[in-house]
Amino acid sequence: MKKHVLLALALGFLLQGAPANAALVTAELRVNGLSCPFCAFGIEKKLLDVEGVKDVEVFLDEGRLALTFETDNEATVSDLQTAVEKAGFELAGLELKARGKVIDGANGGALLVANSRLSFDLAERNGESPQSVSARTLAHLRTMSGEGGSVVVSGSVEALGESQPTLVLKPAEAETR
Amino acid sequence: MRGSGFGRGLGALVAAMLLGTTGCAGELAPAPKHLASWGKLGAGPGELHQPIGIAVAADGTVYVADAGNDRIEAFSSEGEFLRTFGSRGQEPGNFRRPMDLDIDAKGRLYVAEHGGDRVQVFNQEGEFLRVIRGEDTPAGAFDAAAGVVVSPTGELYVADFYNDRVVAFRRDGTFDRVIGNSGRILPGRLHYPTDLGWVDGRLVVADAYNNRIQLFTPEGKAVTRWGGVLGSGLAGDGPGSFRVATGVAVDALGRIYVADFENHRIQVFTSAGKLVALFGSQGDAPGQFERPTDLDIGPDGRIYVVDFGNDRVQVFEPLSEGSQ
Repeated sequence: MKKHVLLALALGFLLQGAPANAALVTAELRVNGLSCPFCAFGIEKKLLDVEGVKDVEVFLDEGRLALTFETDNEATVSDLQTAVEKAGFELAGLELKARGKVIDGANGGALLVANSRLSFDLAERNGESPQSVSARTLAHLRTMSGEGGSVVVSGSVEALGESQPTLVLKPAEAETR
Repeated sequence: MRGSGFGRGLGALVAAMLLGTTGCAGELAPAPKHLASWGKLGAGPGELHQPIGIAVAADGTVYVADAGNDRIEAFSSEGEFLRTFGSRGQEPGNFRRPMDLDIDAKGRLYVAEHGGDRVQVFNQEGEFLRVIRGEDTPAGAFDAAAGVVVSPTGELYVADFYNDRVVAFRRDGTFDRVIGNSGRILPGRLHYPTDLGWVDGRLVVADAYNNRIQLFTPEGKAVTRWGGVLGSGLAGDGPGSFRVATGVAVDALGRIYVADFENHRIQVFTSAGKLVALFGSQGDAPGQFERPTDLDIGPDGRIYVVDFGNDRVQVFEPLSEGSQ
């Protein structure tokens, strides 16, 4: 039991804290060159225009924005990317917490985000480069989600421009102890 | 096709360099003495969080657009906190990022909202009077109303940030015209305008991300510009150049003060664009700035600067009258 809890923490996925039918739960965006309040509040404005975005907090000097979402949102990574571009910036980094179903994907496991057409290939980082999520991790995710259920996973999004981006699960904090 | 377009652009650039641009500095006036600073980071009375715009009333009351707190704060000319109004929201009297304000001849406050895409009008006690929206006009909705000015004869002008234009309204509040269009280098082209002023019957536009100041006739003709090489808008830190010119103010002598945001300084020009004064440097000591966004001139000529990155207002003595 203790081993399972540690593994859950290590992979960065949670089983609580999000409404059952949420899709994207939170997001953290990074943009380069964000130094002016007209631009910062501009990105805030464009992101709040995205259907499903509930709140945006801007950390101007860090070039970082923290988003929360409405319960039944259908927001996509593409929506967020477009909003940032409309504000005159490029999305330099994106971390997400999202609820979805773990399914078989072309490159191993994938996450089909609940209430949405959005899906991600799942990966985990062993050393420098991300690799397809291991069979062990995949099995664990499936165990945690249960029959027909869903899990909440956290990670950084890579291959942003691709039709199916990759969600790299957070590093194994507990395993490094 | 591509070549001919380039040729036209080059010709226009040369024309822009030869016509309507202004000269640079002669001998500059001494920096005005720093008199006071007030405000600190916070959300309490008299505190500020990401202040951006400022306007000084005829009685000396200083109004600050406290954008991070979604409210307006009023101070006496000595910095004593007087009152605040507004909170986050979209209802009348609420704000979503109030960025700039101006005061008309009757003392009414006009507040431009970046997130709310509107200008709200208040009396000086903060009571809501009316709202002005772009979608009620042929111009269409504002996309981030960043700056506002009321001309001496009561016409209202709104800097429409993401639409790269200024929208003009008649005295009765009806739509008049659109001034400027999106672009770089050429006269009349705007790139993220943030603030407006009025001098000698001309509209002054802080063409922020073109790194220049442009003057327009009320009919919308671009007549004067400066900043960068011959008004082209090339960013720089030399005298007369800007790195994001976000705020403008005009004093009783018709001198134009510019908040030179990323150069952390204030520059002052004649209405013909001749540099007459330059003061400030980066820092948090008295007289230094961390990205100043806006400024205004009090009835006694004192200069009030929004020191955005230091969450404070700084006050300077009037610029000497000989600096023209």
